[in-house]
Amino acid sequence: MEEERHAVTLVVNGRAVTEEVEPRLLLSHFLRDNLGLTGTHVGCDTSQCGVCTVWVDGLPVKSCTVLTVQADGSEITTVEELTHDGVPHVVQQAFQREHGLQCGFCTPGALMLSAWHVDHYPGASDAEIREALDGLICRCTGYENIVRAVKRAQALQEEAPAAMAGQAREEASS
Amino acid sequence: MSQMVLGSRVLRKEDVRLVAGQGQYTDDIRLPGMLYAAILRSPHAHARIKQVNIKAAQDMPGVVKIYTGADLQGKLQSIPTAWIPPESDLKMVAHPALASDKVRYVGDGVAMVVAHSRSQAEDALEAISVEYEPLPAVHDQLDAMKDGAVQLHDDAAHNVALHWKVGTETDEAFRTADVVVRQTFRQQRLIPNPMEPRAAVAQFNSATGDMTVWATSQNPHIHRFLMSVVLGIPEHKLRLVAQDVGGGFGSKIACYPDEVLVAYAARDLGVPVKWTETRAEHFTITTHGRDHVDEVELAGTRDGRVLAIRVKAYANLGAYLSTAGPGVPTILFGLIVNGAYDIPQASTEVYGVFTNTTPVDAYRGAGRPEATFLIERIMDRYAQEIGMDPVQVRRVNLLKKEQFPFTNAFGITYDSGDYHRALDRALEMLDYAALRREQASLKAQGKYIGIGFSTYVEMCGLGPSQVAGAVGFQGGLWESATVRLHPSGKATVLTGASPHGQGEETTFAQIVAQRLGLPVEDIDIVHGDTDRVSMGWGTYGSRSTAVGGGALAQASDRILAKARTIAAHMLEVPEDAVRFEEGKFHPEGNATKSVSIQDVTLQAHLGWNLPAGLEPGMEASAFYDPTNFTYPFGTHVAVVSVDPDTGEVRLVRYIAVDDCGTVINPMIVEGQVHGGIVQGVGQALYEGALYDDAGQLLTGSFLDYAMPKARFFPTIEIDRTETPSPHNPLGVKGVGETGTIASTPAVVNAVMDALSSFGVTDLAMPLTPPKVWAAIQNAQSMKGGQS
Amino acid sequence: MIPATFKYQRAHSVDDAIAALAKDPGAKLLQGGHSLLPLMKLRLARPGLVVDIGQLAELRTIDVKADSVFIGAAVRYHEIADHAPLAQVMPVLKKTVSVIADPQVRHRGTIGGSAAHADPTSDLAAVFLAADARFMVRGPGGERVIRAADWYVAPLITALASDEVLLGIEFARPSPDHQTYLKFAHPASGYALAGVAALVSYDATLHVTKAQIAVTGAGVLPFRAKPAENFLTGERLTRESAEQAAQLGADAGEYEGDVQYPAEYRKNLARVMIRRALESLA
Repeated sequence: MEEERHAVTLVVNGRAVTEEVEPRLLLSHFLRDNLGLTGTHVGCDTSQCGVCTVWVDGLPVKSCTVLTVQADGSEITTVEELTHDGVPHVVQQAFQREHGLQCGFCTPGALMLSAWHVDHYPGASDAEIREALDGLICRCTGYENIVRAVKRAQALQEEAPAAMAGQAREEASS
Repeated sequence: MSQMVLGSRVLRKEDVRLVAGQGQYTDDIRLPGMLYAAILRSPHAHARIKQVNIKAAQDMPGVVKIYTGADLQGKLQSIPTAWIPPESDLKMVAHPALASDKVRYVGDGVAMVVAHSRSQAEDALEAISVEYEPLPAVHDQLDAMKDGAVQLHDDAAHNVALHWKVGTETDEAFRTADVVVRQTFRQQRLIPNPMEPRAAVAQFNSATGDMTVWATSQNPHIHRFLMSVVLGIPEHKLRLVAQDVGGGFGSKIACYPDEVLVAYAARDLGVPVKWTETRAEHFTITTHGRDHVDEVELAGTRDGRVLAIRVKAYANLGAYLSTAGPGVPTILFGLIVNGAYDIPQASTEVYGVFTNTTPVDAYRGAGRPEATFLIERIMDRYAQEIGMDPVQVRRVNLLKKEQFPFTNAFGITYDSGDYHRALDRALEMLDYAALRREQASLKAQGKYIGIGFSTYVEMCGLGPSQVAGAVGFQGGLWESATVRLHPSGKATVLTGASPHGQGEETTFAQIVAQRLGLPVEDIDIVHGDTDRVSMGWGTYGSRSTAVGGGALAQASDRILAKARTIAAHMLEVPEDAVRFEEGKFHPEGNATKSVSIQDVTLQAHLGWNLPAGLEPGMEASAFYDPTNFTYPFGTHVAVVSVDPDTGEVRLVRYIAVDDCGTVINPMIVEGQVHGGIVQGVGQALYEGALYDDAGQLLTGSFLDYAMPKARFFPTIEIDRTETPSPHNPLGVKGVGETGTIASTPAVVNAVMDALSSFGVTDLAMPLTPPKVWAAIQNAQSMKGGQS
Repeated sequence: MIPATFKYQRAHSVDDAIAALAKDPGAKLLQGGHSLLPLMKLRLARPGLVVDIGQLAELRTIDVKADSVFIGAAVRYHEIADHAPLAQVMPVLKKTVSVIADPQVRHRGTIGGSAAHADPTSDLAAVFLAADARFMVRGPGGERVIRAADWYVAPLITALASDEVLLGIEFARPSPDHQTYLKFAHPASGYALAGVAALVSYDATLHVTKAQIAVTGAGVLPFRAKPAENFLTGERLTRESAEQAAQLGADAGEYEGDVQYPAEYRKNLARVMIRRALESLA
């Protein structure tokens, strides 16, 4: 069967993108193959590992389980956009400072999940962070330093709340 | 600064790109005109291929070419094994890249489609029809050895791939001992599951004959060597690149059919071709780990002295011999089954067995976790048998500091250690006596906790090449390094190690920085490209820092020696009167007059005024071959709770005291320990590949193969001792595998400790809730029946 | 892994979706996609037409009324968790959706998608059954109501006809005072090996006046633990009565084992989780 194509318009990392896509094109593949945003990785086929996590309209979701046509009209944010105006996001700083990554493959998903979590649950306990990390499989770190990184990011964010808020506003309006 | 670089928590250089999503993994590569491959895999564990019909698939949209096993016959060499243990009667069976007559496991490749897109390639796979004649399948190694079992390969009777024995005479000890403890352990099959699936991209220049393959490899030079043989492409025309690799854990050592096929198609079609594994494929085609049945016997005295250990192991090797497959359950396992204990007599006998399952190869620890598991478990069984505390039984038998270097019953020589000190430290962190009291009072309330120990040693830092040769590894195990200082004094450093998460871009920069007094940020480490790095043996067996680091130290020292000569010339003092401190040379006793290593390097490159006879330039290489393995050790303690209602085991505390020799970057060492522990706990409690009688994998996705998750774990408590290895320039021992090696038996011992109240002495891993619950139920109903 | 080809249509209204379903019997409705897309990627589901109703405003409302609560089919799990008035009148919903899978899934998965997929391990199934949910559906012939007791026909099969659209789910008010959902999760998938929704009212002396209990995950189908409810009504809620109720409740299920989780273990889990759920409400 010849594939039908649909025109979709998404705002990806603040930039409007219009493309004709097959209905079966997954958002993860659209980002990687069509837009060359290879920071978002794919780690499984069953929507378990969370490596492909991006934000759709500000919320972390598994991009391997969203059709690009479903996301038509949405705003997408990927790991490439976490660093804003040359300033790394607090989770990017924290993951580096706490050695929250090793091979780096799950890291984009871990960062997108953690950045949202730090923003929405700034005082989350270790146990709550571990619960939230159910959306991520990491084979390298044993999660220990990911938990520490999220805690550290909470602290960094508290130190600089004004700057963060400014960045968040900017992202929301872009 | 430079004196502080070694041993400090330098943040990882690699993170800068990885947290920005700017890494370059194999699947990230996109080349103009690139085609996509997908491979049709056998749904049967064992079958004869009657016919492969590709007609309909050829007409599918986007399909460029389809290859079958018949198409490739005579055009590719067999997928090789690179480890042939001596006196093992290894059956070197053929392993075609695509099967043409018989498939031997679910996942065995049958045909490859190359199409314009990945989705088109996957669509076309569905249009290929293969007529199979299913054959009986066998997935268990003991079943495979039975009379009448179906044969996988014509030349391997009873499916025995190898039979190997090592060790001393032990009969006398077993005849005369007070106590003999016997136990059979099953160490289940595990699936490595690095988060990055395997992938390969190949590009061929038909004019020059140059082939470039980007692949997910832990050892690009080994890959190049093996692929060169299989494809018939000379090594100088074959370039292997593995820049960022998303974890390996052993599963990216082997040369697989997939990368060979991609390269073949790229050469055949003259356009780049890419293949990326799906996770479902990973579960069935990427090498698995462990899968042992071990019959273990221990002879000892009533007062806790172990006299002898005897092991008979049945190792499942899967359907074909993987690259290092035969070496893992023999050399890497059999020589160290006495563990950290002074056991005068010991022997190991190993059967390696073919079955209709995915080939088995190295998986984090590779052989040493299996050895450690059985010795640590049998020590606990022995302690139980003679009514001694498991710590005490270890104290009696652990090697003492003054016994090093210690040659064990198998003839390998442990380099250095202070095993009792690590045990003492762990007990102190644990507050053992208090915890035993708590355990007793909880038990009175119907609550069960258990405490389990693992006082392990392992051999890593693979290894002297002479030994490699003696044990049948078809390669060297030295490592290469090149230190290149640019005129500005910035450094490019090439290493033959191939890190894929272990952080050596940082650790290695620290080594060079320390030696040459350069800032860490001025040093870039290059790895994973056979065109840039002359030769290397890769990253596995916790060898990168012990061996690759040794090469770097030597190359750095050569640079320094030359720099010193030039500095003496510049300072106009004799060379032996030149001191080097913090990146500066100065005359002995005169720190005010100095030249920096950067000044010296610039002069070396300018060549305007060098000492007579000295070559310009500032680059040095070294090929470092160690004289022994390294032997990290330590004590791990697990505290678990067992819920008798559900059988659920929770890890309550985990304490690890490791000694990996000199520590270059504590942050990275701790990260390796954390990850290793969690992976080992995965084996103890969660993970396990299960096959049905038809040879179908029942745990083929993350939906049913339980990977460790964050919420399963408490905070891990770690400390370390530092006993340098005496035989390498850095004193390092390696830490990539210790956690995995140590943690599995610690956790199982803890669960068995908790279950001892019920009279349960052993359960097969993983200790899942239903298994633990059923064991408690059985024990209780047996008790009920007796009363 | 990539789904087989299909046609895609974004519905502009429920009636638009019903018309599309009527035209193509192989069509499938799509909301969050977290039940359907994984099956399509594995090519275990291959609908010819996918009708996307995930964005329809008429399916995305939460309405807390005096005598009932209505949740539109396309309302996402996290929206249920974040809805304060809903959490006040039916706390079990927030408790349940907060333990479904992981944060990312909760941002996409919908209550209607879960109901229509009818996975026998679905967390919400226990709540639907325990709370006597009413499934509001519309087809070519108009609207009808399906009771929760009739909804689950077989694993992955519901009473929803192939040409009908689930509009939403309604719960009567007031619901019992004390509510919880407790789950023993599969370590790999996170699905319920046993999940228990318990809605109980009791008087000042802990005597139970109303008990509604359902179990998901453990049995072949999610089930209502009626014998447990009958036993408990009029009893004081204690550890002992909870245990007795749990035993009776577990007996009400039908269990089938698999290679990792045998039937008797599943039944035991059902018992233990019913007991623990009840104990947590006392």
